[in-house]
Amino acid sequence: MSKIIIGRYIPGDSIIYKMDPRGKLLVAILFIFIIFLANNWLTYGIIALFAILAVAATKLKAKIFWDGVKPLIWLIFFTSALQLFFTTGGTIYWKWWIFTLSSFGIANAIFICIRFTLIILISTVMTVTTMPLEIADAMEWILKPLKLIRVPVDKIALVMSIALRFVPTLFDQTLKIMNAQRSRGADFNDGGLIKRSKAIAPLLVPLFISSLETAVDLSTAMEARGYRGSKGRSHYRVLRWSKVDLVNLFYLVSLTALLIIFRTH
Amino acid sequence: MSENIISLNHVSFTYSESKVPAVQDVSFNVKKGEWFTILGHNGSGKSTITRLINGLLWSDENDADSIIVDGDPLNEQNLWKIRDKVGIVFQNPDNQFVGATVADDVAFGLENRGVPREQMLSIVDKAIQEVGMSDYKTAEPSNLSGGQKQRVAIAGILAVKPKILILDEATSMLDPRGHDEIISLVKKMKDKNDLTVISITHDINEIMLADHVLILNDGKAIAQGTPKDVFKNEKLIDSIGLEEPFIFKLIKKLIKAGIEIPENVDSQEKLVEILCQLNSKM
Repeated sequence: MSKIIIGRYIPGDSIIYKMDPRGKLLVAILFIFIIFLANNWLTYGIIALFAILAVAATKLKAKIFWDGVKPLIWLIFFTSALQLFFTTGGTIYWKWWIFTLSSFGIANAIFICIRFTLIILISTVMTVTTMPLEIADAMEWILKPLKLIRVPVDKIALVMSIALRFVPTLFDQTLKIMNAQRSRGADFNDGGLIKRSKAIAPLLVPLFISSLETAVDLSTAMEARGYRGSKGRSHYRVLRWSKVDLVNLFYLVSLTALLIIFRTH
Repeated sequence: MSENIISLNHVSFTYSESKVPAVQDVSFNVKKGEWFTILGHNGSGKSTITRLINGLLWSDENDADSIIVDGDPLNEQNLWKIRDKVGIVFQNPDNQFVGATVADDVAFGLENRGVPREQMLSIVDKAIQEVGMSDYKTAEPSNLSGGQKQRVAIAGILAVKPKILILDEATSMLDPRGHDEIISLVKKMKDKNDLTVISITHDINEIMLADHVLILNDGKAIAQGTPKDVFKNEKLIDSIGLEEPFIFKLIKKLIKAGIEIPENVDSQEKLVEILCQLNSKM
């Protein structure tokens, strides 16, 4: 069977790939907050420039990023349209019933559109350059403070990594069951929506049962191998900061500083 | 060689959802360093016995002498000590692969025991190398064959240095080549690391490797002894629908045909040797 790629990771070796996943995840999250600092054309220009810089630094094809934006394009247009027709203020060009087209509305619509696109671009930069497992490790690190309020972060992290590890296994099982059903005359590709959904039901039941069996087997194996909760466990895989991560830090700090300086107060 | 590493004394086990015991009054001793094979059909209770040995299941009446592993009776206090000594390779290669990569999976047992990372790095590398998977250290399980996954499982067990290795139908989901590879790997590891091997199987030919065989039927131990002794009782073997290993059948046919085969011949190699000698005399 062909190799299955979980998530959207695309192998590469540019500088972004060498960065610590924790730093990348943090920047991607903080970017969503920082973007709200932009409130005029200049600051939106700056943040767009920084986002494009990050995209360029991955050295990946532009199409990959377009593929990231594409599925959300209608959501972007819809939100922009809401801004466009419901914002009042500035010069009013056109008015009908509850709809108004104003200069503020036009500016807001464009800003929203830019904001959305940039957030998608930055999260795409993170997800295509970081393996799912690394993202899970980074999330464990970010969630660590929650241990203080007794959130079982280690267990959540183990669950995440096991879930990721079993995606291809489940996929294999699904294919096996589909082939078994096909050989007995099931048809998954023809017919309308209702007919197709009906064909899926006999697929889900065996899949569900086999995943439960897998889970029971796995828990037995884990216990036999000495798993007794996260207390006293050591870790084989560790994340280490390197000099490359300074570039990431510099990126975040300079972007924030520029936005604070040039935003309209 | 004569010391018992595992003893079971009149052990019974009944699953809570069933009235009939899955294992009924089974007793046996496994000697240190031997290859002990438990043979039986599906549902004969053989996998249940593995789970009883390391406390994944608790026998119906667990006394101080019911189950003894390496001198310690199995109870709540000794549970983790015993699990450190017993490694199990399960049947399904996929359902026991916990780690995201080969190295992560081999490290899993060490992580559970809180081994410091610096030590782990070298232990993991060594274990992976021992099972011949060094080229696949960072490979993900979806890119490995069943046999390779079972090798990784063995590496994960060797890493924590157990005294007993249990193969719970570990080769039944593999192709013949994978089967042979795993068996020869286990043989090698057994000699190298001074292991006691308990192999649970329904493959009659695998018992040729065994020093001692236990045959289970419907949860009861119906025969024990060396492979040769066990298969002497043809009626018993027939009655539970097991077929004699090819080599024993061949020896019997040869004797019937008037060819003299010495008593002590109990393996393919020995038989081939004898036949060659006979051939050269003719």
